[in-house]
Amino acid sequence: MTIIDGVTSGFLQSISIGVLPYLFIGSFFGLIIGIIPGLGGHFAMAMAVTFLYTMEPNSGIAFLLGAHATVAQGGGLTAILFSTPGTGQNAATLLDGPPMRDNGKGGVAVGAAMASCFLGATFGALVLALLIPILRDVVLIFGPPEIFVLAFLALTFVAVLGKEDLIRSLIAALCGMLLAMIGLDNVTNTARFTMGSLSLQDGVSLVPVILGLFAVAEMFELWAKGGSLARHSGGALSAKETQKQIFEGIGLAFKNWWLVIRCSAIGTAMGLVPGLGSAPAAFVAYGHAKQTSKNPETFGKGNIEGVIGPESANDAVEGGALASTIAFGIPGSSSMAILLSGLFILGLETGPRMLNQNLDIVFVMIFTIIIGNLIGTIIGMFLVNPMSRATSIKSEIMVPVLLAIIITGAYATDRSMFDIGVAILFGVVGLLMKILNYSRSALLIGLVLGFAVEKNLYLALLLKGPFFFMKPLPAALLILTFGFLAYNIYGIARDRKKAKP
Amino acid sequence: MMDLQKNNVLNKSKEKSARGVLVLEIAFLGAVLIMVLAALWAAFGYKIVSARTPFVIMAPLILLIILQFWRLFREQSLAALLQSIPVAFTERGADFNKTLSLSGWLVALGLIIWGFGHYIGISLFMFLLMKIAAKQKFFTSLIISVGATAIIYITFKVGFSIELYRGLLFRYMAGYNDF
Repeated sequence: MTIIDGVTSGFLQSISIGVLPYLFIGSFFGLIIGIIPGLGGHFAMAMAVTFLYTMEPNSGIAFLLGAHATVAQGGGLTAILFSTPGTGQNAATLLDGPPMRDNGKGGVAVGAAMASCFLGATFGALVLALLIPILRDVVLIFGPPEIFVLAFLALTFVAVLGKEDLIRSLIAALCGMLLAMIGLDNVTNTARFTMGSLSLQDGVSLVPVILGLFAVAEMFELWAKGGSLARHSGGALSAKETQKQIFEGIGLAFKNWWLVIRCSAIGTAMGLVPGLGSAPAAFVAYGHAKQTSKNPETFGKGNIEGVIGPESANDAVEGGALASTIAFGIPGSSSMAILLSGLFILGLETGPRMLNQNLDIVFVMIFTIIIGNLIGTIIGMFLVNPMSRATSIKSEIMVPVLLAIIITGAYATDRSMFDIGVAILFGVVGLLMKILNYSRSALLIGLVLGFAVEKNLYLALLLKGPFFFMKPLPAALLILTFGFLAYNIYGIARDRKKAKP
Repeated sequence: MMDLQKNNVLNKSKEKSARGVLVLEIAFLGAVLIMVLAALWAAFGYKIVSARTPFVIMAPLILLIILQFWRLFREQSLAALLQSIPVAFTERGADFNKTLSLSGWLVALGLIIWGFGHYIGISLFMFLLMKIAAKQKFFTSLIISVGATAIIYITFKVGFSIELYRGLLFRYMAGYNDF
């Protein structure tokens, strides 16, 4: 399939009657989840995955990515209006969004944030589209030995660059990989680590694990904290004034187009590196916006550039993150790991096959991100006030309802009661990991990569023998992995030495 | 003077809490280590083709767990940690109790679904959790649990044609012999 064919087919599929309603529902769902503090993109995607089994691949992708695309928009909205970022990636918006609200410009900030999200996501998606011709060639150089070593490099990036402790993250990542070993071995048909259970013979299902780690664990936390979800709610704005300000904010985002492009480029570049995620990208973009501003002294006091910068970057990340996920099957974040598992469910395989035979699906993803964000912006523009009321629902009501939906989702994936137990168990594990600073993202990425690692190790040994890692590209990647790890360990040791009196 | 006393109390409380988390982590890591060692033992019984990837994963994993234990024990003496065991479970107090009780509710939900089916299970779970544990009003709990169950039914059964579990009782009444 040529790129022109892929673009045309992808676009037509994205706006077809079989896809657009799913994209709309997904975008609306993501926006609501983004608005509710404590429920992030992981939760939205984890919940969305449970519905994929009955969908066509293009509809499923539209639903999943639509939900993911609009989470940051919803999160930005609550960060500005309630000083409560719905997701971690909106934390940088807290620096200038709430001061703008306090100055009576909350609607302007919301409008600018939503438009910046849309423009950033569009930029990231376009970069991904432009990268496809290069990726199609590059991906062919990567055979099983390279993918095997690349998986470890990605895990090292996730462990080192994540916000959690390095050793704890590595432990989590390897535990995830070990979990992937449960079930029948594809080569010898030996049942591994199943403890005689028939339910474990097909391995640990991804969906209940995802739901447990990210959704049930969040529910435990919300239940324990109690009270209203928007703890710092300052009340809703008047509808007419908000509407007027939102349009003004959208205009300002377009007026600052050069800042949007620069910050989107920062986001996209940081998205390409596994493990960095959108929260650091948003802060780097904020720093850049401040550095290059004509009025840096007004940052932190309600400067619109302080909202536009981070909001452009945090959505542009997705384009970059999708590139490595699609090309190599190596997810750089837990959201991408969930997306990858969603693609497995839909019967799609990443890598050269997707870039050559299913190019239309890649363009469905690209157009989904753009259209999903556009839908999010339009819904957000008109429904800011009613949607922001979702934050005032008490957790005592929200948690039982969401738990019922989560448990239903866990069962529905494989119609298995066993999976309900898996979701509950991993909910407890997820909560403990959160309290103890073990990376849940690393565990999930390890679990998703575990399958690829084993398959590629087997093929690498078969094709290149036991010293496959001595070939030029795997050796270079291995040196990069150890070099990166050693440099960071050295950095930690040096900082500790400096900290000692 | 008052500020100094306040700070001292605050610092002691923080130290106590940190020690509690430390004990929790040791227990968590210990459980992980036991499971990994059991997996290692089991892996020795497999053919080498099936065991080599788990070995490649487990070797660094065990080393990292030992390293993490060393880091944890370096922070506190064993005696101090043993003294902190009750703290680990009482310091988080209300949070810990709420989490534990919610886990119990979830297990109960699983059992109700198993016995009486999915829709009865989730509606009872939502109603009882809101009414008893969250102390919400009777009608609020009833309306929300019935409404949410209806939405779940419409979404899963009508929207996506997903048949949810009907429970052992239904299966028994319908004449199934295999449970």
